[in-house]
Amino acid sequence: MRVTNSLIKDQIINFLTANQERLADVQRQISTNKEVAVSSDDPVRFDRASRFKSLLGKNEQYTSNIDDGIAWIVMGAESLDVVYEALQQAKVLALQTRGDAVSSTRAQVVPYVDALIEEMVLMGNSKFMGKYIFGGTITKDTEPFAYDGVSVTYNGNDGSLTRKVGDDTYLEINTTGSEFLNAFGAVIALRDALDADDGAAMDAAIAQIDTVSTQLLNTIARAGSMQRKLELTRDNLEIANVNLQSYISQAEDVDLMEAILQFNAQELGYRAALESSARIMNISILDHLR
Amino acid sequence: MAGLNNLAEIGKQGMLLSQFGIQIAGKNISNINTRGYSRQRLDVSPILPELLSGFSLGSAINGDTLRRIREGFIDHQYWSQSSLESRYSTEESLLRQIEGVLPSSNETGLGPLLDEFWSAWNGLANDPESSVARTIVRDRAQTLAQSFNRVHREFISFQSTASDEINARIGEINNLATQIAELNRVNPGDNLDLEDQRDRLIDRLSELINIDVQRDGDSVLVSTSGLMLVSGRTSYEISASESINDEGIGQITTVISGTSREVNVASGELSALLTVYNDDVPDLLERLDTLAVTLTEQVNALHRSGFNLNGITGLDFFASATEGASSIAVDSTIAANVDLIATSDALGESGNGNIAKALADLADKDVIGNQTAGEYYRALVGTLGNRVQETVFLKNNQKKIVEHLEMQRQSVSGVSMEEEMTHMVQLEQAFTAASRLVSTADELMRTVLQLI
Repeated sequence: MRVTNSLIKDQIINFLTANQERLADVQRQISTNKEVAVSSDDPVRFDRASRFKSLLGKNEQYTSNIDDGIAWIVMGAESLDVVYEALQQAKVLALQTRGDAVSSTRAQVVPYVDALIEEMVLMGNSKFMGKYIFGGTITKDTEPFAYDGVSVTYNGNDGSLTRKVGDDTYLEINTTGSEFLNAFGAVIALRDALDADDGAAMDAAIAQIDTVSTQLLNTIARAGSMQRKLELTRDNLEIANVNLQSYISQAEDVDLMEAILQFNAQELGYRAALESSARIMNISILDHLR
Repeated sequence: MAGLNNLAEIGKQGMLLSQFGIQIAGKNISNINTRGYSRQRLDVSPILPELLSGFSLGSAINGDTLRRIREGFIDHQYWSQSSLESRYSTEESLLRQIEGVLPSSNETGLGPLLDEFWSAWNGLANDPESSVARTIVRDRAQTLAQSFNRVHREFISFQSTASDEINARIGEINNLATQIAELNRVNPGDNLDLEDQRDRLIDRLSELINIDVQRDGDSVLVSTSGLMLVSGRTSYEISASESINDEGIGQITTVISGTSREVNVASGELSALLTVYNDDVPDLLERLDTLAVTLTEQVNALHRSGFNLNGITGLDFFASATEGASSIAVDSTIAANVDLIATSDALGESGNGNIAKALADLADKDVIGNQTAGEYYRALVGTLGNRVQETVFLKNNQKKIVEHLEMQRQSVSGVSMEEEMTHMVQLEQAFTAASRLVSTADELMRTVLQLI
């Protein structure tokens, strides 16, 4: 092949440009730490990374749903604990004044029992972040429990509140007021029996308190298991998230070690090309003619 | 009959010949870096004996024997391959611009905005009473809608820029055709530099549009996809006609001016612009429209079935007039009052978030064919990414081919300093020898004269 000056020049330019392009590309990968930054870099890996990111985003939302749900359950369980304590105190007061010998003290404990009822109502109407915990889906404006001094009525509904914890999974987080409405009835029955100084009615009320206490314990246990389910789901999500992070990284991050080695190789090539170009450009027949 | 006078004459002719040769070498050397210059050679033929007595030796330096060193076959190859190369490289740069318009990056694109939109509904499902959660839903929906609007707007403005480019290219093609026809008229054949100039114009023309070139004596015929652009001294113009539909999406067809003959542009920069303008952008816009319309319909259907804080049902969430990505927007009454966002599937239950929940679940429902909205969008981005990658691949291959042809051209037609300098030294020596011939003739003549 006949070699001419402009051919050499063009070739030098082509080689150097190609070298520079490759260097710039590896350099971009190293400095951004991303091998795949836009879809056209590698459509398959880009798509994989964006799917994983979308999943990760969803999982993070689920995790925050779970945290929110757990806070709600814990708040509810604490209120229920107080209600249970009140039941036990009412029972103690009843047992202390049950004997015929102490029947004269019955009237004295009525105000205590009244106070317990009010405390229970207060707990039943407790709020979390401005919302009634035990009203079902009626969470605003209407208090779940209304006490008129004679009886307690439930104004909420049986609607369940749930939190999304997976693509098709919702977990329940609430206990509705109707599940422990009878606790109020039992203590009010006791108060009325004490007021009437009626030993037989007191016996019936104590038995009733025992029954509702057991029921309430079951309700509290159910809340505990709801919480446990949420926590397990959260643990699973956290493990999944760690995996997702590493998948995302595999899909779009650059292998630094490899990239740096490549960079060094390219740099060497570029230097060699520059060096040889400089040498060849300096050779001319003119230097050798008189 | 050979005489002494003739000897001096031969010496003179030799000197003139060498001088002319040195001039040509000088011209070649000074054009060593001129793109499209073909080196020139003076062909010297031996002088026949009978001519020595009767005719001038000057015919040896006649223009007929000065010629360009050029390979027509390589030129034809070059013209068809460079058309393809410039098509792919233009296509690549246009598609990369589109990729930039369509925010395809994983952090800021429509994809993440969609995810955030669904996640806002999820937040509202947790907290249907909260006006903060409602505001978040509205704001994210607005951001999403505006992002659709923006992408649509930018595509349309991209199209209008492309349309300007198309017209500029067509102007250049017509201009080149006129110049080639003009050179056909003035050249024919006796001016090597004008021939180079014409080939340079054809080079540029081949980058713009696919052409076939035929030599017809001293002039060239240029045609594209079977339609004549330059024939002898006549050139034919191309013109573009643009039609824009209701949604602002344009289509461009190219015809030979004054006729209805449509030009099927197959390669060159013009074809890249036309392909992106006529096919790629409308296709992407159509897909974005499908996404926007589906989103509006699906969200509205659920939203209408729900109750808001004011106990009203049957309201649309997105403006029902949505025709596509250009017009998607949050319904103005909802935008003005977030309490109107429906969350409950029963009247009067402020804590009931079942509708918000169902809306959040839409994220995973196959709403377009068997794809979710997010998958549909990712597929759209993936298609574009594939298209860019494929074009880059084709461009790189084509670039190698064109570089190779360019090298071959240079190898044949390019000026070599070594050759020219060697040649010059040779001619210099020939000149000295020829001058010696004259002085020898002079000495001989003097000797003869002394005889008298």
